[in-house]
Amino acid sequence: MARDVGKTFPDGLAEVVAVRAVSLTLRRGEMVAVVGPSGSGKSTLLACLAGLETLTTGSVDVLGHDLASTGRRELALLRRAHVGFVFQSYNLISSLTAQENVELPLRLAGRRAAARLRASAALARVGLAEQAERRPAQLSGGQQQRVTIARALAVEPDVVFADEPTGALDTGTSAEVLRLLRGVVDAGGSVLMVTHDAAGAATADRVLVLRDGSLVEEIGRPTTERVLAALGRAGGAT
Amino acid sequence: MTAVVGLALAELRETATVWTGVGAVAATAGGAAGLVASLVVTAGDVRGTAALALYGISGTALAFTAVAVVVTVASVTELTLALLRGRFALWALAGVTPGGVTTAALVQLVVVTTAGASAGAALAAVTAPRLVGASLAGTPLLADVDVRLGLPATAVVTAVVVVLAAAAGLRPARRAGRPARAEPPGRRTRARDTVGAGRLAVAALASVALASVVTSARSADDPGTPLLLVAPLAAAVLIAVGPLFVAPSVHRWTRVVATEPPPAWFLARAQRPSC
Repeated sequence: MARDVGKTFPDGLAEVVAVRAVSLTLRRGEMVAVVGPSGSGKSTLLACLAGLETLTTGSVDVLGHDLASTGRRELALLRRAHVGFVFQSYNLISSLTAQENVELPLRLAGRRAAARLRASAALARVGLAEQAERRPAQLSGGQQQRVTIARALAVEPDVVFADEPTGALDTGTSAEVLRLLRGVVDAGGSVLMVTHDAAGAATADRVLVLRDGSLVEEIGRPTTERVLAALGRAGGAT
Repeated sequence: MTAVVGLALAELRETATVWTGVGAVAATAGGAAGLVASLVVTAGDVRGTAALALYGISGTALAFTAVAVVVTVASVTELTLALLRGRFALWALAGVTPGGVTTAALVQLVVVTTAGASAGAALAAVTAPRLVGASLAGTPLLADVDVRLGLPATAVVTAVVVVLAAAAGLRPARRAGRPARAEPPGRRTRARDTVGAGRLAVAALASVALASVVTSARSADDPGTPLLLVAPLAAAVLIAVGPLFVAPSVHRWTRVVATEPPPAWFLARAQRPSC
C-alpha cells in the first residue's frame, strides 16, 4: 500500500518533482499496469514502491513492512524471500550462468538443496532448460529477460515489480513474458508493471495513468483502446 | 556465506582488470616490506652493534612502510569498489545483504592482495641481498653483512601486508555495502573537517612520547637509539592531526582561484609575458 508517495530530485539549485502524492493499493492476486507519457514518473514511482528509492514524502507498506523504517539488511532479506524484479535491462549477474543467476536468491537464503531443483524447474517453465549453463552474454535479449523472470519465479514471490519488461523484446517474446507474469498472479502473487505498451497494459486487471508525476486516471477492466485513449488524454506520445 | 564467497570469486574472475591497481599496490608493498624485513632477518643472523644498527634502521622503515601500505591500499580499494558499485547493485537486487556485499568485497581484496604481496615479497627475497647489500656497503659496520630474507620471513611479510590491506579496506568495503542514499533537498549538510577523539588521543600520546624521547636523547650517553624514534613519532603526530590543518589550508589555497572564474581570469592566464 502506498500513501501520498512523493519523490523530488535536486537539479542544481532547483528541484524536479518526479512523483506527486500518489496513493495506490496492490491487492493479492492482482496485476496492475502503470502507463503514462515519457517522463511522467512511472519508473520513479515503481522504484519508490519497491524500496529502491527513498521517499521524499508519504509511506509505502510492502507485505506489512514500512519501507521507511526498514533497515537495509531487512530490505535485502525481504526482497530475497518475497519480491521479484524484472527490468528492461535484465540486470543479470554476468559472471554467473543462467542456472546460477536463478539459484542465487535461494542459495543466499540458505536453501541450497531446493535451489538447484527450483531453478531448473523455473528455467524449464520459461523454456530455457537447454540454456541453463550459458552466461547472459551468450543469450539473446528475450532469453535474458526470461532468465530474469525465472529468477523472480524461483523464489515464488508475493509481489513482482516489473519495469518495462517487454521494452526491448519482439512481439512474440513480449507476449510470452506477459503470459509468465500473468502466471505469477494466477499463483496468488501480485504484479506491478510499468509499461509504455498499451496492449501489454491491457492484459492487467487495472491500469493507472500517470501524468507529470500525478495519478490522473484509473481504468478497471482495461482494453487496448481504452488505454490508448487514456494515454492520449494524458499527453500523448510515450 | 558459501553463496557470497562463490559469488565474490566468480565476480573476481570477471573484474580482474579492475582489481589490477590493488594488486600492483600490494605487490609494491610486499616488495618494500620484504626489503625492510631482510634487515630484520639479517639482524637476527649477526650479533653486537651491527645487529642493533640493523634493528634501528628497520624499525623506522617498517613504521613508515606500514603507514604507506594502509593509506595507499585504503585509497586504491575505495576507488576500485567505487568502480564496482553498479555490480554491487545487481547483487542487491538478487538479495545480497549489505553485510554480504562487504564480505564479498573483502574476500576479493584478500585474494588480490595475497597474490600481489606474495609476488612482491618473493621478488624482494631474490633481490634483497644485492639491493640492500649495496645500500649498506658504504657503512663500515655493515658492509660485510650477508643480507637475506628467507622463505619463512617471505611468508610472514605476505601475511602482514594482507592483514594491513584487509584492515585498510574494511571501511571502503563497509561503505560498498551501504551506499549513501540520496537525501531529499535541504537535508544535505557540508562535511565538517573534524578530528575525532581517537585521533586526538593518538596525537597526545605520540606528542608526549616524542617529548620524552628528545629529552632523553639530550641526556643520554648514546643518543642514537632514542633519536631513531623521533621520525616515526613525529609522523604519527602529523598524521593524527593532519585533517585539522590540511583541509583548511587547501580550502584557503583554492580560494585564490575562483570556482567559476570570469572570462577576464582566463584572458589574463592566457597572456604571454612580453620579452
